[in-house]
Amino acid sequence: MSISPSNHRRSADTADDRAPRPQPGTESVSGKWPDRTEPDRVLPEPVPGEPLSDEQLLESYRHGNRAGFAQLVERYQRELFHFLVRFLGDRAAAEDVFQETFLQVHQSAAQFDPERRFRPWLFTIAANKARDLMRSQARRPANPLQAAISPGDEESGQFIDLMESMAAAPGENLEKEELQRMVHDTVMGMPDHLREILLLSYFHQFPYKQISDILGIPLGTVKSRLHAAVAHFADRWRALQENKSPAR
Amino acid sequence: MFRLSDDDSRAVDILLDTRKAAKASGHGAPLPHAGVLANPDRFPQRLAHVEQLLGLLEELPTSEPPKALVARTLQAVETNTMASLADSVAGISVVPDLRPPAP
Repeated sequence: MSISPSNHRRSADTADDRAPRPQPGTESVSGKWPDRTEPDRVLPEPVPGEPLSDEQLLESYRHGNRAGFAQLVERYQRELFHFLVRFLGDRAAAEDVFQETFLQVHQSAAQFDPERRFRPWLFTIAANKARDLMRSQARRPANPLQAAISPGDEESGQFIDLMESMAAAPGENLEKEELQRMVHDTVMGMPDHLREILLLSYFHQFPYKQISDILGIPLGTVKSRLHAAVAHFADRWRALQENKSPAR
Repeated sequence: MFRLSDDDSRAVDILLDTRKAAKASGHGAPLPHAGVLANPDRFPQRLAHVEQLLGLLEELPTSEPPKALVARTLQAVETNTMASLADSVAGISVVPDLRPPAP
């Protein structure tokens, strides 16, 4: 997937920014720089000597300050790229989705609700874009674990006891490189929706409420899905360890 | 879908909450009270196991963004902007219609 003007226009037309709903009268023409005539919104005044908040940067961008947008891209390049690489398992795809995400931020800047936080909004867009990409490619990671370990875990309701699953110290006696490869295989072998929520919670430390907003699911589902993700990870890890060392 | 026992679920919640609190405060955070547990005696051990399990995620390799990622992203936005402006202009006829009015 490459970034091209036609792609951009198409993505703008599909209203990919699903979570934040535009407020009546705030819709902008996609693809244009933010309108300088947008009414002012209530944000805390910048404190001299302190960096502007994400929301203040976006607000300044909405008033035509392109440097504000560049600062946001710079500020989130590592965290968002890391999320996308871990979620998609592919650097090139992560870069494409990163660019599409910020293109969507640009196109939807006028619709951003200043009462909300920028960071979860950004991750909402990124997660939507990443899921769209995976769907469009009907993508599953080519992973032998998928076939090697018990299938049907989506519906089985099987209880996993983490104490028993981790009876052997996880990862002991493994070389660093091998350990990394096994963790990578385990994570990439997880269903996308479980991997996504585990990454958002563990690495990006979003509160459950914000994950609920990002994924557009109820709070109770966040918890049950996250627990399922940990159980899934534990089960896959145990199975991988057993496959590696049958005597254990 | 796989499920966890209530005690395992509680251990996961506690550890993730503690990580979030530690990040927010910039240093370590105390473990919150675990609440009502089915098997309180084993909970510290359970907590340690879950911590060890989640700690494996730290081994998940990632890679740094390309050096030109920011520049390429800004360029992509700029390109899109110009394309959209060109589309807008193309939709406006700048050639005056000099045909005589229809009889």
